[in-house]
Amino acid sequence: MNNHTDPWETEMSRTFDQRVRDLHEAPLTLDHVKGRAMKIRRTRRVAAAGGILAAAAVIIPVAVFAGQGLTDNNSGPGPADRTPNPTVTDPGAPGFGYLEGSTLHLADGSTVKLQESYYGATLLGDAVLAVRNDDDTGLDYLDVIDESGTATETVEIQSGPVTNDDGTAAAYLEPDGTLATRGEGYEAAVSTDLGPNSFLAAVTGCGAGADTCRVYVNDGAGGAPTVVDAKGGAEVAVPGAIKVNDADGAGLVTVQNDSTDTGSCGGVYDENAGDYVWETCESYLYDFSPGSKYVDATHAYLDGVGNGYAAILDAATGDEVARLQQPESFVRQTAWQDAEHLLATVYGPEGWSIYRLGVDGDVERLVGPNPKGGDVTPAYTLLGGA
Amino acid sequence: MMQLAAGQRPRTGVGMRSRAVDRDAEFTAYLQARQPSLLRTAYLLTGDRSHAEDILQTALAKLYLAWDKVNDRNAVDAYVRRIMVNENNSLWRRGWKKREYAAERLPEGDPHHDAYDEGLGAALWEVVQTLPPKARAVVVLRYYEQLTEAETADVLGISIGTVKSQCSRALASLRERVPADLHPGHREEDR
Repeated sequence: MNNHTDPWETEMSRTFDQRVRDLHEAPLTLDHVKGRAMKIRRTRRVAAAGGILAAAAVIIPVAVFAGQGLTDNNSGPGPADRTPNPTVTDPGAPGFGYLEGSTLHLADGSTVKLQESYYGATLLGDAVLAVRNDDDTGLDYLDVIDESGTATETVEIQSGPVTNDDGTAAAYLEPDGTLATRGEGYEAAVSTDLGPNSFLAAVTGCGAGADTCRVYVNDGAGGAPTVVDAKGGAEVAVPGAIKVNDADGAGLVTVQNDSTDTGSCGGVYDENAGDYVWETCESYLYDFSPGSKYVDATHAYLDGVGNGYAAILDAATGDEVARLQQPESFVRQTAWQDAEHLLATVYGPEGWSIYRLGVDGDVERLVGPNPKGGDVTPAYTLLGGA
Repeated sequence: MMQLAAGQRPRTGVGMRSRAVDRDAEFTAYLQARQPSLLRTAYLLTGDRSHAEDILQTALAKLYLAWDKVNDRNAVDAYVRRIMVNENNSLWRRGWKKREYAAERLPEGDPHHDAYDEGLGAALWEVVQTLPPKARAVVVLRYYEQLTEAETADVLGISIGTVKSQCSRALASLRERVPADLHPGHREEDR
């Protein structure tokens, strides 16, 4: 029990009490709780099930296991079809960038020591846009970092950054509602009236000489996702959508359009046609591959700890092409390395690793394992990852 | 912090059924006794009734799964609070919002208003809603749950220093962003 001396502390306590004083309901029954518990248990089993017969990381070409059941939506493979252990690759020149604590590893194998530890980062031209959470304030800050690892600019942000497909433009949202875009040689405030629950999904165009600039914005308070253009005009992104996760600039958008106690539904939406290319309630969709031939996805129900697997789907049909699933492990983050390879940070019994999943079913462990950080704080963060 | 008992073995046959019945009875009693209080905390953490029910349902489900391993029943609330905070932070980052719920939707209702409030409560709540989830969790536990700095740090898994600084920053935000004529000192002077 406390005796607050600052009058603001007293007012805060009073305000909280006022807000909930009349809230006496108990809407959840034992059945509600057990139903959610069974779902969580099933998700955990899915994450662990791959380890029963396979010794290490598992990559599953879907063509091999069609019709067998293992996953939470009964569309997954049987253990006997799992491929052997993944190749372990020398990480000398990984061919992609990632963060390890306060060290930035670049694609050519060089490293840059940063002044802070960041939980997210993306490349913008020669600069790195890195996001850190200040433990003292709980606020998120975007640092613009040059080649020497020095932060040349710091902006408090609410969401982002997201970058366009060619990495020439980025967008981020500031706490005062300012939606900012920037690229080499330019900065612009697109909109200044976005709310505190807005968060960014994707940006298309906006680079130097681009004809269009569109930023896809989700509403965490339950409103419809919107698209904000270069002049600040906003329109509903996809009719009936709950959330947009990616847009490819050519009219395709990954969408979540339903959410239930046991999962979610979504699909690939074609803005030009004004209709879905396909819809599914078996997968949750993330980002398009460069060129939009594929989209990365996971199970339709998202549990807090991470995803039981990462899958590559055919963006034209929704058919699963390949899957990365490990025993007693979860996938924390994914990012496309190129048009046919998906990177994933994975936490398993040995710690954190970065894996690469190819559309041909190949899997490689590129970095790790590293037990640092436990399952809460990833030892590795992919640049531009979802 | 809740203690988990090691080495427990699954029960079988009649004993298992009996134990399951006992567990459900125990858990139902806990649910009835503590759910309104936990829902209030969840609401303050999220600012949204549906979202509050969602994270509470997940937290209670995880508690249910661990129920047989709970040694210290007095620490269960702290365990649930911590899951709710983590779940809220996780969902906020992932934008995983607006689920549908098994529970019947109930109207949110207006907050209680004290006669002397004069708008300060609404102004404070508006500022609180803009705090990042981690900072918001700190102030909810400190100023609503009335936990000490050490208890708050323990629930959230952060240092006491971080609790202090988060609170300090939150209060500074209030002073800065709440209209001057609503400041506590200003109102005292008016009386």
